[in-house]
Amino acid sequence: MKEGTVIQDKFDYTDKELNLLKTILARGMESVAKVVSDMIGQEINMKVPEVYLMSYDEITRIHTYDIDEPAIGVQVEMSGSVQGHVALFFPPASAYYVIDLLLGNERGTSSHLTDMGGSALSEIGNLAGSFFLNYLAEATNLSALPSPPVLNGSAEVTRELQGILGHSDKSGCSKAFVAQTVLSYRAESIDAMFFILPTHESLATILEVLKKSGRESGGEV
Amino acid sequence: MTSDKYMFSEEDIKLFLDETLEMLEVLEEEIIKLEEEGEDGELLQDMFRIAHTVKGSAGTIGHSSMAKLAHSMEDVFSRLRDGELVPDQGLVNILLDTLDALRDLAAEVTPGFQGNRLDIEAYLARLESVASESGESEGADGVPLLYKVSVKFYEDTVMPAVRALQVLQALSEIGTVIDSRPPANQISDGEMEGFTLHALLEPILSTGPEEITEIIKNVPDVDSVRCDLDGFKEVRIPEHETAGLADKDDTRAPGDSRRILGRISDHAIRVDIEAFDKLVRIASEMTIEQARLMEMQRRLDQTESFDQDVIQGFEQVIGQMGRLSTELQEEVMKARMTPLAHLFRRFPRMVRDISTKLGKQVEFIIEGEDTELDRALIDEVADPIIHLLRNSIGHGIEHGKDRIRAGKSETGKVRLSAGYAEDRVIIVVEDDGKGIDPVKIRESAIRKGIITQDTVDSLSEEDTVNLIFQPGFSTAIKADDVSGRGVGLDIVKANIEKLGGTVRIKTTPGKGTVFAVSVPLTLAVFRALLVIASEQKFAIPLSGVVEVAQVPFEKVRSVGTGDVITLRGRVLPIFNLNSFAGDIVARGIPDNNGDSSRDLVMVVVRYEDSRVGIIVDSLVGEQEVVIKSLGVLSRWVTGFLGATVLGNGQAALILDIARVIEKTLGRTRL
Amino acid sequence: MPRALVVDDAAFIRLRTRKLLEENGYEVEEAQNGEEAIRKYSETSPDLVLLDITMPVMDGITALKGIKQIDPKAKVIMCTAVGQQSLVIEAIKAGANDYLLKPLDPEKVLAAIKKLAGK
Repeated sequence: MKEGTVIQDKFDYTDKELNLLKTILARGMESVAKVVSDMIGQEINMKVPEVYLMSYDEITRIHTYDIDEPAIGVQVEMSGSVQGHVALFFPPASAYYVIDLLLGNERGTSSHLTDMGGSALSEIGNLAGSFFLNYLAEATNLSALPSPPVLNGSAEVTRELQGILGHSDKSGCSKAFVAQTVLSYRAESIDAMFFILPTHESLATILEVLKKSGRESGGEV
Repeated sequence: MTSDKYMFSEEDIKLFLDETLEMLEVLEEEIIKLEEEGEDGELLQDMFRIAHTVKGSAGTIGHSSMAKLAHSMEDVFSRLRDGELVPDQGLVNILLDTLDALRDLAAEVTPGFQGNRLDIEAYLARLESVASESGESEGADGVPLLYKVSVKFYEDTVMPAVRALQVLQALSEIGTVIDSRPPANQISDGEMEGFTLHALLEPILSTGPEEITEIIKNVPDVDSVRCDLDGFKEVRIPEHETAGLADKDDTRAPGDSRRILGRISDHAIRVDIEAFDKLVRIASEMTIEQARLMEMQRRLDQTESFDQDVIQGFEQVIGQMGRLSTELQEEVMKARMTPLAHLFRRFPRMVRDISTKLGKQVEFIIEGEDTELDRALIDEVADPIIHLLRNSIGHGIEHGKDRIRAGKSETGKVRLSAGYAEDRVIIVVEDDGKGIDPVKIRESAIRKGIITQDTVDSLSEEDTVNLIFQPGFSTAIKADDVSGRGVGLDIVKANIEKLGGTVRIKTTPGKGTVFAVSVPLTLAVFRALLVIASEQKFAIPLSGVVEVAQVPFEKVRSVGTGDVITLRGRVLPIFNLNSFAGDIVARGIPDNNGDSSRDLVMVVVRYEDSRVGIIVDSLVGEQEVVIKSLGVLSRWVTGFLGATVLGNGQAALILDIARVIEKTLGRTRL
Repeated sequence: MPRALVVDDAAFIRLRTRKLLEENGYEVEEAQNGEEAIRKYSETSPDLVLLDITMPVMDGITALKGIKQIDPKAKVIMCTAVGQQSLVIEAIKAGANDYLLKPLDPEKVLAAIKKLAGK
């Protein structure tokens, strides 16, 4: 996966603000890892994620990890001072492993998505969304609430998000922030991707706050 | 007789004394008010309750004679309230004497008390002669009680505001929550810092502290609860802002004696001054530690090979430390602020006593007693203010007949007022008496050898009046009991200056005199500009710095025995810090390291209306500094408030701007 | 046997909570949203309700108000994720007895239940 191209959006942000934003996302991801650990009741290690800025075109290209089976995605809508979506994608193998862990099954029990398995994944998406939004609120004072999670195939999730956000249109927001994460549990790695897709206005709002606090604090987050 | 008789711990006794003496002070103030303003049902009700509470406290601690005397006083208040007695001067005198007796009685419980116990019979007889018959008085039992409730939540409570809300809800089921910290509306908005909730509860029914505690403990995440009787509702002095700081009460287990030792609360949390000073010291040391860290970081920065991550981590720690220590410091300082009312309420009695003794009629007016000042400073300014008040009544205010002759009202006025001026508090003692005659001051000063005839002639009127602050000067023939216990105004001035303050005088012969004492809000910690001069570091309090300028060397001119410089058309006397040598006596302009083409670095400082430029070698930067006393050195070094320890362990002297300006202006005046 | 009503839109959460409560001697009813919760409450009047805040169809706070209308003495513990303090405050004002943070910690769930049962 390569770093996304330079953004051509209408609002101006500097590398500094972009880096601040990336830091917030990375920290938000750390709390996500903690939630997963808490749910499983076992410590889960997480590699410090790289945060990318990615266009929708690129997202659609990576939404399948497996040629036969698309990745599984959970999307959570944010409402409040920050609007948009967060989404969590798992490649199928990782998704089934997580489900087995959460339901207390032996590894390999799940091989397709059951209602209960989907519910477990949704819950992770839900908590990941709320922990992330909570962290965002602490860092920027912008508060947003998550809506109930929606589980879908990743392609569908992406299509749906594109539809909602109206990609590449006049709003100019055709980019998402993507954190690729590798969670590992007992030497097994669980791949996951965490997408943050604020609306154009919300991204501008976040950057505005970051600029202001950057000025006040000298750029430290 | 010793205090063995009182089977209470030292802490109990201390609490008893603190509370009782405070109540007696309020009572004293109210007795004076009663005499001045006549009968007032509410006031009398208040006085009655205080006497009643004092009686209860004394009884609890086993001091029966004190309880008995308080009881008799209570009866008199009850009869006054019912209109059976009139508060004339005779009665007020008796009440004040009784009050003094109660103070003496309270002192008897002090551990190690060796004196004779006061015989209260005479006092009782006097009170009974006015009250003639004593009957059981109604009232106190029907007075609503107030409980001070402190709830601590576990520190890992995720949403303490929600828990606080639940506690307030639970309390509102058994009574009325009169006030809380944080306030209810903030809690409702989810705002809560820390994990402690303080509330004042007035239970509807007779709910006891155990029951209240039980109810609160039903709320999850409650770590501990304390519930103390807070005295009677109506006796409370209107609240003022107080920081919700943990109080020393945490070390006290609730006990019956304490609960009955109800107290008049001004809603401040009582903090032992020693514990508090410790906090202040910790906060101060933290600041020093932080400065050290910064110094380390600076050195790390210079080490190229060092891992950037380490430095970043360092920066974070420093940022955190800085925020913490500033916060702690602010809180601590805020909590140290005490309204001047605590000091001022002692004065009406004193003024009355002095004027009665001198046979003068004085109307005493107090204004601005809400003005807050650092607790340590309040103690420090007490004596000087007392002195100035004595001075005003003793020397300022004339006798009634002289006043009438001078065309004034028979009753003189003494006004004590306080207020803020930027980061300072100004306390003014003002009288409409005869003022100070400069001619008499001149004569007296020459006679006393303070000044020569030649010098006197060159003195302005203002400077002449200021002679009264010279050691050995006193306009009174003889220092007497009234006008100052043999302490001169020079001591007043010296004491105030030691605090970083000033005393100003303005007098108009025939019209009156105004003394204005100006002191900083707090001691201890402030921001300062660090400069280097004579290869040493000095700290200049930032509050007095107006600007920093670079000025060409050739702009310096000599005037009088000093030098001035013109900055943007304004003539500034300058003080050369490079010439520092023990005392701040400038020795002319520096040779500027032999290079007269180099610009001078000048820090312009201000005190009140005066400005002076201080010449330094270079600037280091801004920093928080903690004042440390110079100790024995202070006798050798003048012009400095104290010293501070810098990050590298070096000490720097802190400039006393007021003193520097005074000295500098003195030299350049023609 | 005391009865509990577990309300959450996530089947997974209901499953976990049911297991925990059953192991501790509760009989458990489930509801998927607020509407169902109110209906089940009026039908079964359980001793305890564990009520999720964010749910489709009808959210937990609306459901709480509905339940309190049926039974002002209903014992309700709200379940919430972080960052929803304002909702929790609203719930407490509406009469909720306690709240628990997701992901639910079994020990804390049991402690909260015990505390409430003692009232």
